[in-house]
Amino acid sequence: MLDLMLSSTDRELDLIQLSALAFLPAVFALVLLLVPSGWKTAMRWTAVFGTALTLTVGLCTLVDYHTLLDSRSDRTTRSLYHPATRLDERADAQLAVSATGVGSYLSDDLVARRPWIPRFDVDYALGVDGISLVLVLLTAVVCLLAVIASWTIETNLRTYLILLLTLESGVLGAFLSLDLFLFYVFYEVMLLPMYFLIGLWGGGNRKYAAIKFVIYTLLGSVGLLAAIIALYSVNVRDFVPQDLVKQRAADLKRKDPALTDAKALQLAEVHTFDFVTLGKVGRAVMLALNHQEDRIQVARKKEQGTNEADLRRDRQGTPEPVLLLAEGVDREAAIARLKGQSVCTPTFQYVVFALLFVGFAVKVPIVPLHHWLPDAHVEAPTPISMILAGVLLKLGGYGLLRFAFPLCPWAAHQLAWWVGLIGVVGIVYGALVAMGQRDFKRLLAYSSVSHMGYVVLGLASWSGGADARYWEWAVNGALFQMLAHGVTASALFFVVGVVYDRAHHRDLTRFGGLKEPMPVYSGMSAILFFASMGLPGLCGFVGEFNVVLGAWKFNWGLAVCAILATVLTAAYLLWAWQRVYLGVNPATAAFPDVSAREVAVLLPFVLLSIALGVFPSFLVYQWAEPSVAGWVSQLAPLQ
Amino acid sequence: MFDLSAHPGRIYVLATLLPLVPAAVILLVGMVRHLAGRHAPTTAGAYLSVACLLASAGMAGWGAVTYFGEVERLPAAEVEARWGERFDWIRIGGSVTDQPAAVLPVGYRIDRLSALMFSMVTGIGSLIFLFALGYMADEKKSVPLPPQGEGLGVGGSHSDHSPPHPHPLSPGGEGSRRGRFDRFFLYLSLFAFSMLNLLVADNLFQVFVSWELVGVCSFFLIGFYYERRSAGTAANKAFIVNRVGDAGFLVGMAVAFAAFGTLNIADLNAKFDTNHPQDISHTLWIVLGLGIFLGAVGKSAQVPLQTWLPDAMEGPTPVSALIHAATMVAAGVYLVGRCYPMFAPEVLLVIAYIGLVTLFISATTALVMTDIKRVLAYSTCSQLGYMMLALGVGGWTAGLLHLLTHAFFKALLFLCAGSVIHGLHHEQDLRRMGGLRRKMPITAYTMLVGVLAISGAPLLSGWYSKDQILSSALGFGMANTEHFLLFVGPLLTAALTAFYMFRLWFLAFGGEPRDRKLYDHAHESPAVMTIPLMILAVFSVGVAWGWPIWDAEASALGKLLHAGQPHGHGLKLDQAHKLAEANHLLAGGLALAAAAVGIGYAWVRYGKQAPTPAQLAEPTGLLANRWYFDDVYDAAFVNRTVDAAHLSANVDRANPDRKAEGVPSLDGLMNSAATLAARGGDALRAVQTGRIRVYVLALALTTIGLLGMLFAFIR
Repeated sequence: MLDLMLSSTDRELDLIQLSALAFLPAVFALVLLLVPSGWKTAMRWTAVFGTALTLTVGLCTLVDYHTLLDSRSDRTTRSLYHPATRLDERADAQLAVSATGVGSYLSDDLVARRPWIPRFDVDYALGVDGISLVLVLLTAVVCLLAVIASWTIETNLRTYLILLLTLESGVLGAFLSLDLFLFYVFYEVMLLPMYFLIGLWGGGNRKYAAIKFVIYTLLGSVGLLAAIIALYSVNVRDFVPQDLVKQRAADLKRKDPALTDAKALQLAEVHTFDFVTLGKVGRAVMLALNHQEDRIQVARKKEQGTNEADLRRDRQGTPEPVLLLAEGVDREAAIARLKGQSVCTPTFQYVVFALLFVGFAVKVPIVPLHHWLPDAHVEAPTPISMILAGVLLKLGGYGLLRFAFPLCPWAAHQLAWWVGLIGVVGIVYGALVAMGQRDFKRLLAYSSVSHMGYVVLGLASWSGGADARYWEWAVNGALFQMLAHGVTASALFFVVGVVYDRAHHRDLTRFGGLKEPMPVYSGMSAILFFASMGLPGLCGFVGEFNVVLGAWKFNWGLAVCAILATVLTAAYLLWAWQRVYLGVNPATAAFPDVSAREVAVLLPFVLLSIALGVFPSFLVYQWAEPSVAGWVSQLAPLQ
Repeated sequence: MFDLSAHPGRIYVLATLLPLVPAAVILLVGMVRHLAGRHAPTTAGAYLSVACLLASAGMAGWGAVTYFGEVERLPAAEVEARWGERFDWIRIGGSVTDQPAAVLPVGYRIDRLSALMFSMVTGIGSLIFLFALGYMADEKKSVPLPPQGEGLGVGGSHSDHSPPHPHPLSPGGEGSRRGRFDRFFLYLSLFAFSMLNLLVADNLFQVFVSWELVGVCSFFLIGFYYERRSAGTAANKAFIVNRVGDAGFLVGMAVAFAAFGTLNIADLNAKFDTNHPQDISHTLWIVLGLGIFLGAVGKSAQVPLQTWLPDAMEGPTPVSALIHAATMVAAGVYLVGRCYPMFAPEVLLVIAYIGLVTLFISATTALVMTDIKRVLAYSTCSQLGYMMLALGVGGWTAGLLHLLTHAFFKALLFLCAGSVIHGLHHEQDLRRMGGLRRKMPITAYTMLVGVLAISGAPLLSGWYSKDQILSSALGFGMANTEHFLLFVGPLLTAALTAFYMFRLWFLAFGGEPRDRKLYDHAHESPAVMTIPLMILAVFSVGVAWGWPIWDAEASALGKLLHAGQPHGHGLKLDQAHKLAEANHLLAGGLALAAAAVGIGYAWVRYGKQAPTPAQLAEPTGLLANRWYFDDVYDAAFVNRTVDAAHLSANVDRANPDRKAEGVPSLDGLMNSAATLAARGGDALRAVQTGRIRVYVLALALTTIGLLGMLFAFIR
């Protein structure tokens, strides 16, 4: 990695910045190796410093990203919404630069691309947009607080911290990857640390929980790998800069000099792991399968100032064009080539979507693939539970949002109702099962299943045409729900951890009366409980409310179920609240209130819950929403 | 920011936000002090709360005077602009033009109704805050803990006054807990902010936000004495039952947003200006109305979601007065009043009948209750039923006038009850009182004013509003004879109301003391409590007066409201209004007669002679069991849900601490699939290895296979 950066004569700031964001925790894991083994405090502070630095880089990236959004303006769209600042456009621009092979790599668009394994067209490609940045920042915050929460870990501290930091690197890398292969690598990288963190530092039944976690996740990721490889098999030559095709033709001709130029050009194939390109294929396939191939159009030169709005004006009365094919492509031949490929069959689309969906759904998790979650949570130590709930589950939602839907939009649209139903089943079933639990952590684990169901429902609320705005609400809600759940769920797992440190059990029936001995702790817990319940003014509400508003337009039946589940949510959380905090209990009366370190973990979560609930637009939506708007504007018109 | 000359409405924003200041101060100071190890409650925060609410009340007064001045003088559009604004809370999409469904705004809009309500809430709120300074004074220091299972304050029917058992639990000292003086005012201030925000909100979304916030404040206040199990349970019940209503509210909002792309109340009302709503089918129109009304049903404790309100009396009495009588429960009626044009004729009819059922059932339950606060709680339900019925039959002005007058006399009644409870050292069983008028005369006679007002005695505020409600109902019943019951029910219930209120007064204050020991220790409350009583009594008499005062139609408050009456969609409303005016005297006369009958019967039964032991026995039967609503709900919903939860938990996974009870578990199924696969692997290789290795090998093989596929593709 370092080598790659130094060998490039044009040092690219984006590449360094994004790589630093992804690899800083790993670097600090290496630094930890150098700390003498007795210096436990030094190790802890090293880890705190590493995660804090990562958060700082993340915040700097946020500032850069905001500047980037602000750098273009256009009177036809609101500020920060310029189409050229969307991830797709930026990734395309980088692809064009790297295809010509000339010119400088210097850029300020927060997308970096370098060949990594040229033999298999694997690129080292990183990039951020509003969607990934939300989750990157969430990860950085949760990991920092989890390290602080790990202060009580004594056994094998160095290994523990190294694994935790490696895990953070894996997650951040996965959020930042633009290349499916790279994504997969990062996705697998975080699996092993998690396995060991649960299996070595967990509770009594930790081996079982750890192996269960690994099996379920592997089951998902094998499907993911199959889907990625299937997508790699697609010939994307009409969707990439044509210079690349010419290079391939030249390569072919070198191998077989007997070929004529024209024949070589015809035979040349381009394969890619780049999900922006593959997303274009997916959209083209959707149009083709819906018999709307006349809408597939060739992109024109940007310099001419034409954009989709102009084109629409030019061809009034004709169907709305979708610019998918690369500049200079013969449209008829390209469509014929596309329809000749297996990618343009319903089976391929269904299978790949199903593989991607199941792969990510295990992580979300959806019912009935959620059983690893309660076991893993119950056995994992508190900080690992925080990361598991706060960060790892988000990878599932992120994967659905970033990969499953854009790569196979046709299948996603066909199956939208079923996906929504799966989400609603998760919401209701998770809430019911949570209500039946006696173990505090298990209850929270199932509440995660319930809350993440809103994410699935929000994504699935496919409304096209004039109603696309409702889908946008729902997708925004899904994204915000991920953020809010990340904050509240990690915080609540820490809340359980605090009381577990004092009571040494998590049996809800044996708590009670915590409000009197621990007033500060109870006050903070109350805010977090209500944030998780979706009380307006706190963060849990924004996501749920937006999802419900959007989902109603999609299917009112699903929306009603999601709305009614809020009653169940209130019931199980308040019941738990009553059993833990209210009443009088001699067993808990002597518990000391939270320590300064515990306040240091809880207070940021509490403040975030309030701030996100009161100022969602200022804090998140203003920079995250343009990306979601772009996402919806790509998929919604295809219907 | 608060440029009052261009936007005088911003005074209301300021007045709304002001109570947040003491809330934040108490929260922060409390946290810091607790962390520093100083656990005694502070009193400064409480005084700050009172001061801030008084300031809000002052601003509300200024605002109301200015508003009602301008509304006469200035053109409507200008008033609209000066007294309402909106800001984006969330705006989505890149579009620069204003498109529907692109924005969730927050904003405020002052109209006649909200200006009056705001003044009422801040005014009554200030008095109740003052009262609470006295009532909650015990909480300034450590409070002895009662034996478990029994209560502080409101215990229902604990029969002896044995000193609390020493309780070795609390760190605050032997058998005591820390005082919660500051915490009480934290909740009250937070409540005040939420309630005021609800009043000024110009859109349903913001109303919903406040709606839930007042709910959560109510949750904390009902569960204020959380040592008691019953208090925690009542708090949960209130919140969850309200959530059911809120789910309906959410549905209503989703319908409105899907159909019109806006949640602004004025914009939505404008869509329904005519009788032919655009952009929405009739069915959805009904769903929209029913959804919003369900929210109101929950908040205003109407049948079938009324069961939480009586239990909510677990909270301290000022809470009952503020939240569960004068303000929060009125929010449902207020919402129906504000969204009036959004209700289809069918929905208005539903509203009227729900009101009818509620007012009758609650009044009959109040007849037999023996806990002074529970009588008042049921009477609140019943009066809210009157308001709903009035709105349903087209008596918009009547219903909302009753909302305002009721707030004053019900707050008065609750505070008097609080004064009695305070004076009797937390006894609230009516059967053990009696003769208290000699010990606490101010309380007794101010309460008599309240009792007369709620019974509809002429020239007191309740008379004006109840008279208008009954004449609206009569007009509606005459215009739609098949719905004549909507007049008969409230008329009968007017007699019941007078009866149970006078029964309460005679039992508490009349006759001779029935518990001598209790009587001997009784004392009148301090001035900080009695002065609010006297002020409220004055308002309970005169708040609805107009000239001439003997004409119920001439109420000045009613006229102010009437000028803002929106267009409604009820059945034959024009005809009903005409008939109501024509037969106004008949309705008034009948109402008066009903009240006289009720008062007279109460005098015969409880006033003239001492109540017989039979009358004081523990009530049983249908009424005492509150028409079995709680039992039916427990059997039909609560227990079924809990069963479903346990079943799901079992199906999901055999609980380690419980047998699976013969239910196949989903987790077991997945595990056996895994085990089967592992066995298969073992069998194939006929070698016994650890499970991990099996899986790692499987993974490796799969990866190799897939990589092979990859090569195949590339070649």
